Amino acid sequence: MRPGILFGRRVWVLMLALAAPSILGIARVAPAQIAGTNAQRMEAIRQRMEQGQGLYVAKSYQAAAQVFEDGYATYPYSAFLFNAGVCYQKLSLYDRALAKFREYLRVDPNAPDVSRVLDRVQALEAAAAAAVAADGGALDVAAPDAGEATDAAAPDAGPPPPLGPDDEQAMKSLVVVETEPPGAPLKMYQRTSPTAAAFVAGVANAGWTEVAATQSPANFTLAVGRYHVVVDKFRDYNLSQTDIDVQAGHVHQFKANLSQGEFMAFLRVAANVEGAHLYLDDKEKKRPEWGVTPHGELVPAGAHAVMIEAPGFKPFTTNVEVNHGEQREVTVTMSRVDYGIVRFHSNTDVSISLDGEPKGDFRMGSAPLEFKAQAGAHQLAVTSIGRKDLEGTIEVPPGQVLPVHATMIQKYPRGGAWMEAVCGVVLIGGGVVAGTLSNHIHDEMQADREAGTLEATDSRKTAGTWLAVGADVAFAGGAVLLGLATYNFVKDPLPPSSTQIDKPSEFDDPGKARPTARAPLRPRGLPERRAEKSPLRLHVGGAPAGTGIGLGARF
Amino acid sequence: MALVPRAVSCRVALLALAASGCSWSRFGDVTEDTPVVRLERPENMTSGFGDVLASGNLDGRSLLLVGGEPGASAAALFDMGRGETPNLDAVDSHFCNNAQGKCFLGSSMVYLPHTVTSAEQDHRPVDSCIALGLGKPNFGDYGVFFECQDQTAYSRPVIESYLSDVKFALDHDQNETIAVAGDGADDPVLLVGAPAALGAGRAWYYAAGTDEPIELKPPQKAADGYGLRVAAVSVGAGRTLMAVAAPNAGELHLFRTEGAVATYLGCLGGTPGFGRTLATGYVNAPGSAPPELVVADHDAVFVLETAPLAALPAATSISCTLAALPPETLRNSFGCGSTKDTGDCSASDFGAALAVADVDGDQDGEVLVGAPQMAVYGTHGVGAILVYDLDSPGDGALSDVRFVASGQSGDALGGSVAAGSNGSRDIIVGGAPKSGQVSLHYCSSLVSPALGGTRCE
Repeated sequence: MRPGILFGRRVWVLMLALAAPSILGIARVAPAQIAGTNAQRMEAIRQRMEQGQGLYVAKSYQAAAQVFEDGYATYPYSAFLFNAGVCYQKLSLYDRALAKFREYLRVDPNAPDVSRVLDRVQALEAAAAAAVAADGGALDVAAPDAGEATDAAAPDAGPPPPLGPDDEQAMKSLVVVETEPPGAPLKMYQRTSPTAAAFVAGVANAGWTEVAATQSPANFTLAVGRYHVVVDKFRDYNLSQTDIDVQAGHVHQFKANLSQGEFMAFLRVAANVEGAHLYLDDKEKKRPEWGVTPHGELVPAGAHAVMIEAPGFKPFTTNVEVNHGEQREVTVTMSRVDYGIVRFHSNTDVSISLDGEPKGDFRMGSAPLEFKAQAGAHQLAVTSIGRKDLEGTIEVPPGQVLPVHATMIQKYPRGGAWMEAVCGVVLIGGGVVAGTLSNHIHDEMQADREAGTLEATDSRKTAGTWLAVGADVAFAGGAVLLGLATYNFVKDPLPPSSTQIDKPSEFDDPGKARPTARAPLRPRGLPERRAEKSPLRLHVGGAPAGTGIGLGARF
Repeated sequence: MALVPRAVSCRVALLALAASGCSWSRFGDVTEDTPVVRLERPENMTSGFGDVLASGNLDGRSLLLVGGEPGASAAALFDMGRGETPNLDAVDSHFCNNAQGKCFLGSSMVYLPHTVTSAEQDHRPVDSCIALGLGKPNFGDYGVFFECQDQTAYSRPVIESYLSDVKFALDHDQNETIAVAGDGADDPVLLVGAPAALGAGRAWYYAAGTDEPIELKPPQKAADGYGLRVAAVSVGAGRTLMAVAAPNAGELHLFRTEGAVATYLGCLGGTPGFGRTLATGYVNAPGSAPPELVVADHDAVFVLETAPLAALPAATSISCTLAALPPETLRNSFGCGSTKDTGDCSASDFGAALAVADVDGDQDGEVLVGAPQMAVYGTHGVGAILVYDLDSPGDGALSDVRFVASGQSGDALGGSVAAGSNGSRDIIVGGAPKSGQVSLHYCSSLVSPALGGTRCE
């Protein structure tokens, strides 16, 4: 069966019928498997898809295949199957690749590219057979890379088409189109000629091919290219349309407000802080938060005030102007506050001061002592009765909690040293007294000698001699004791008190959303260098010019 | 070994502690060749060592006689040696120890370098003898007792009126003390005073080379205590001026003797205690004039020229006064003097002992006055020897005071004084009988550095 036959008007109902189980299946599975709002779910799908695309571009096919497989298991959109098949094909795992493509055809038989997928299946089967014949072994063997075959290379029309190379644009994207109210008829056209004129509804458009016709809401697995979606007149609503530029491995979401005859804009806010709280047009925070980063939702066209808050970071507010059908992504780099919190605890009761300013006491068994401190280096002093004082420098990180644990060591007892010092001083003092007396006696005797009245057996000689000997002995003993005292004052076999500074942690989030700093997101579709230039890193995706009531954007 | 130089003072003991300490050997240095040395008391001199001092000279050897308590102790002979190294131990200590006969040590002694024994021993020449006091030698009769270094003992008879008292005293061991004085000759005229414990005092003399006692008796009855102190001065032409004191009455009787003829010249006195101590010596440099007589009373010391006294005519009555002195006889008179180290003159017993010594080696003598109760460094009773350099008549200023710095109350230095000799000058010898000490004082402020020697540096 040729895929093109499927895209006739008569097939529109069939496509809807085939698509319905998929959508309904998603709807049926979602409550059981997926938590959170529809926006959150779409954001999760988007992240999976973009993660897989990133790995694929990086030629990490095995990891990319696993991401797509996991993505399909959680969010059963056929785009995940196709992309996983391509990755396996890149890995020359033909058996697995064939299984994914066959599953793709089974769950999405009305896909616009059914014929090309069939050709790919036929080519893969041939390649696999050739590999088996050549190796006589396993099916999953290395073989030349192959891409999708053309529709002309059908299996029953001759030899299987050769496998073409799959480039970075080979990944399929998920395109979700919704209307308000739902149930509106819609058609999806693909531009097949790069030189085709812009699509005009109601006339023959050369270079454009209808690839799907169904009712909203609908999701499509589309290859890279330009598409045009048309919501036909429905009830009392006029026709709505918009161009869609599908990029590889992305999720595009469109919603048309038929009462206004316009598509809504899609605003997505990302930040370098994951889990930051977003408030949309609610600076006073009177309503529940809009979401946490990264977060994207359909929003009315016009100006919006976006406020982002995260514990430990300075609040950030920006105004965003979005147009109808525009898909805008805003990436914000939040900066941390200029203070941090020291969370202190110790192995004993202590008093803490920072830069000489008392900060409080920590008591054993109580909660850690926390106090704010300006970011940067500070002199921390910790004292505890009977334990060695602790002084050191801590580097308080901005906007984070610095856990500090002090291990206070008991002071080495100095009683012996004091006793030695006292005894030494007493001995020295005694020596001084004895020496002074000895000197006095000697001076007297010398004076008497000079006066001619000194007698050889003068009894003062004995007294003065023993006083001198006693003084010397006292000096020597005192010096020894003072030396010992000095040694014992200096001697300290116990280690000094110390601190253990753990890795800084984030501020506690009253909203239970503990933010984690991360690198700013790189905007999709823009060169990397652009992402690094803007200090604000506010990136707005380009919106292709559209006609009619729809606007498209990439995100 | 000195730990630090002597110059380092322990006043900076804390600073010196790091380097050294206090040297104890400096006390050995400071007591080496001290200016004062003490004689060693012989073991047999049990009491009053130094109570009696006399000096002598034997063929150039300076000798010192040290007696103990009169009537109760022995005497010893010390060799002063030459220079500054005296022999501190007695060369002989057997004198008057009753080994050679019964002996009562007198209150003064006379050294006889060369003499002859008494007649009963055939006038045998003997050397180095001492007239000690009363006694009876083992081979002799009662009388004045002599004992020589060779342990020869002999006696000279006393006057007849005194003999029974002497016998009684010696036989019954009743102390009887005499005073003996010589005129300084090798074979001197000896003057003996016997104040007598009972009855009137007596005095007599022995002419040179004789054993015959010739009594010296005033024209009238002398006062009690006559003969307690005696002195004799050779005044030339074979004549001797003799002085016999009765200090309790303040009398000093003068006699001139020439051979066996004695002439009473009169009596000096009139002041309390006049004549309590007597001494003779050359206060003026030796020359034409004979030695001076030095007399002390309770307050002052008088230096009298002996030539005018010896020229006095005979007297027939007793009138004890200084007013009768011939002109220019009283050369000097002076009282006690104090210094910053010594004092308490009024109670010092100034004049308890007298001697004349050439301390400064200038050929004339200085008067040494004992003041045994003088206060030293504020301590009463330590005692001192006051030195008066009386170069000119009328001088009376205190020249120097000698004492023992380590003396203690009760030592009573100056209870006796004498003059030793080191060959070039005299050494002050002081006795402290109450503490049994005799000290040699080598230094004086009067001594020039050239003569001072190492002890006086």
